[in-house]
Amino acid sequence: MSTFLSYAIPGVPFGCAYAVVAIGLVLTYRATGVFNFAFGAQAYASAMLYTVLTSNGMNRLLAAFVAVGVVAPIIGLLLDRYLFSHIRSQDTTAKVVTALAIAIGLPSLVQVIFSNAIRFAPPPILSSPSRVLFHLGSTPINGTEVSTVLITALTVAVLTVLMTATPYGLRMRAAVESTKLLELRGVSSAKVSSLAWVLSSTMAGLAGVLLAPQYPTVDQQHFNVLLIAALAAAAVGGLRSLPMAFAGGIGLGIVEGVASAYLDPSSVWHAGLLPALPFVLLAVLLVADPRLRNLDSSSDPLSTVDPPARSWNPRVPSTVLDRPLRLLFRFIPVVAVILAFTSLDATWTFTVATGFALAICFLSITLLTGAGGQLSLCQAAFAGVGAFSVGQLAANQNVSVIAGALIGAAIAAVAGTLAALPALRLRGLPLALLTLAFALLADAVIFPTSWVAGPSTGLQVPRPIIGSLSFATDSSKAMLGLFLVFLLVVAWTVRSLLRGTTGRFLSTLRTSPVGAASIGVNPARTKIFVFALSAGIAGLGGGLSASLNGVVSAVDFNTQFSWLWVVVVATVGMTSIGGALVGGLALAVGEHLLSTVSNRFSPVSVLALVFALGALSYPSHPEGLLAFGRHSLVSSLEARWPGLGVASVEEEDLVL
Amino acid sequence: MSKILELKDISVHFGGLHALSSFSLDVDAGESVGLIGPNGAGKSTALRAMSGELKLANGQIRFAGLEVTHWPAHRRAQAGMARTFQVLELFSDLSVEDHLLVALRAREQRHEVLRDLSGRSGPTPEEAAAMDRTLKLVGLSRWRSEPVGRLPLGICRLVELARAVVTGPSLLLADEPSSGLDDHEVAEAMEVLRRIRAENGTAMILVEHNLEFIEAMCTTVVVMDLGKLLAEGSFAEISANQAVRTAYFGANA
Repeated sequence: MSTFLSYAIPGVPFGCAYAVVAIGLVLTYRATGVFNFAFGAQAYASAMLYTVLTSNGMNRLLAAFVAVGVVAPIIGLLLDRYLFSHIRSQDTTAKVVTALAIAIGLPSLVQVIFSNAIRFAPPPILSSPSRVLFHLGSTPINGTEVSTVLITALTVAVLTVLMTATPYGLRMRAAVESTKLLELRGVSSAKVSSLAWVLSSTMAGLAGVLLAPQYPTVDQQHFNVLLIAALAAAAVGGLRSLPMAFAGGIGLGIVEGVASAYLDPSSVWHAGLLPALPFVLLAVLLVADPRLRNLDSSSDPLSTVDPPARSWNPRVPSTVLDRPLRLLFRFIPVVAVILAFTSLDATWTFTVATGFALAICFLSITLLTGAGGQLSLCQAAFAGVGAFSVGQLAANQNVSVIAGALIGAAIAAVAGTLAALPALRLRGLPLALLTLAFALLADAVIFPTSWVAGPSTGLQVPRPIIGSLSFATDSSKAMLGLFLVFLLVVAWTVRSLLRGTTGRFLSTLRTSPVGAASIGVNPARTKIFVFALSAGIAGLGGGLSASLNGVVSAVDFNTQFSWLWVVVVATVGMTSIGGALVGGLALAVGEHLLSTVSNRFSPVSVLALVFALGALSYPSHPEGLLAFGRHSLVSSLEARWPGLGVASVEEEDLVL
Repeated sequence: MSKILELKDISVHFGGLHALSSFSLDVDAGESVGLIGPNGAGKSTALRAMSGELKLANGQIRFAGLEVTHWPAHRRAQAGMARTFQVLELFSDLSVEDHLLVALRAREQRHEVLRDLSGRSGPTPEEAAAMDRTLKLVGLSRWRSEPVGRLPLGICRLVELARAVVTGPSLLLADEPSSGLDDHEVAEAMEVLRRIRAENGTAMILVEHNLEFIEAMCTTVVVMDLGKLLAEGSFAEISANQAVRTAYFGANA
């Protein structure tokens, strides 16, 4: 018993942090309908603030109060007031994209504000980690552990009283059941929602400050682990029960502590299984628990009174302007490509080639999410599978890079199929969560192992050679040409599929799975097909980009990129080929421009911030900024010259 | 006459709620059956169990002579069981004719990637003929290239109907086809269903609250209450049945 205790106790502080965030997740999800992927980011923001304040000599309690009691709730209030309260009745994709935008944008903002250095761990709020306060059995209990447990217990006690004994708690519990019924009773659900956001954001901040002293440095990566562990804990309670979510968090922390002590530190299990524990738990729960599977089908008796989601193609194209505009939109890329080949220097050629490789990856999102409605948060992981395959095949089997890229795409397609199998019965938010678990699993367990990602310095990937034609580093133009060919082939393939039967089948699956089954569309077959193809495309893009860069390492395709990619494609346009192309080029060119402007900020951070801000337009423009811009252009031309005789049918005309 | 659908003691449970208990029903080929009963009687549950959306707790379903109890919804649809919905389940960004085309291809499981890649994914002459015929039958020809997101409810119900019957199914399950329609539209829907029955010989199970609709359309009426079969017979027999009157209008009726 005493040995068990000595193993279990180090896990308790982690468990406390998981439990606190898990409660916050359940609270906001149930009371406001938003699944907040940004809690990890919010925890990171508070942890960073606390670290910076204490390292500048501020009193620890005061610093904790500023980080947790002032800044964290203000962030929550702002998020609710300016973002999430406006998208209550939007579909899951809009809510997920908005939450992801915050999850990407907030850490970027923190890194821009506090520059890019990784900070050393701050001291705990109370006491100190080196001081042993007392012994439990024969196990020494240090200051961090006591501090964490005390603060968590206090928080939970306050929350319990608030939820069970005050009118605010009653309203919040009612909002969990049905916000609409609550409004009919004359309670402002906006206020309830604000309160839920303030509470849960405070808890996220608290978890950040509690967790920060546990790791040697304050690193964003740790807070992704926090998010997924909290997610698994919340899933234990079916994303519904607060006490179960709390118990799940503590339990997960203890299990991790015990497992890490019992498993041989040098064994594969210790390196592989232990970090994978929360992901596996989450994945199993998502697939097995019917409450989680049917998360999107609301239990609110008034849920059907919401207006239907916006149609994605609401406009009839202008008959007069459409043809010239379409020609113009084709003309621009052709000119751009000619200019790229004739007048770009080596670095810009490299940048455009990077953009092409990204565009190929983005087309996988156009296909899977834009057309198929399957929200996947692990597309960068599929690209990573392709990239590492190319590297390993070239290094160990001496396979040529082109063949390697195609084999890598095939391996990624197999990975996509494997990912689709447990996801067959899931859509919407549960699917996004499962794919997120896959992405983080790849980050934490698969990509860091040496047989995937090679040495820690990264895996060398050569440039392709076709016969006597070499695409070595000094001939970027040839590489650009090769990438253009690949991009055109992939774009043409995706376009043909989307215009054909495949696109129609995907459309049925996206807009009405029940209707699709009623006419005989096999949902499993269609889903596996689109997942495999999409993963294959992403794998190809990843392999090409690895060859362009010459080296690939585990962090090049981590979850942050999966999130960023979804956000970029959603912002620019998820339903058109052009959206993926413009998005890929914009990301590559933006990064290059920012890297030339200033060394002070990480270009990726600034860019992520820019696109995160852009993605906030997604709920009002799900067709993407590209299509929106085009429609606005047509409208303004029509307004200026009404004589163009545009036969645009207004929706009112059709209501009989 | 051959049986198109045989339900034998089927039950559906939602947790502890027995939404459907030991419900049995036989439908002949080409027969029109009206399924009526108070709200919560289990009519829609029965329909969803037949179409394969809901799993049975026990019981057996045979369709067109095949044992389909454990078949998923899409397989039953491919075998010729079509369906319309009370709350529309249309594909909001497809046009009216694309609804018919995708239904034809799904029925024949024609998901040919190579045809898409070679740009030959348009309707074949046979498909075009089937679509034209159905559009005319249902009266949707003038709306054919319209995206359904822009159409009014009455037309949308007809689109669902057209999508369901374009493949020439042997059984049509219609869940409240008149729900939300005005008198004129109800009359039109009835006329369309009659034409479908006359031309295609499709058997139908109609769940309806509109009793005039049932009287005009159905040869057999099945009354349900509390998840069970209450009575079965012609409309006149059912109207005279005391148990039915009690379930519908209360004890004093």
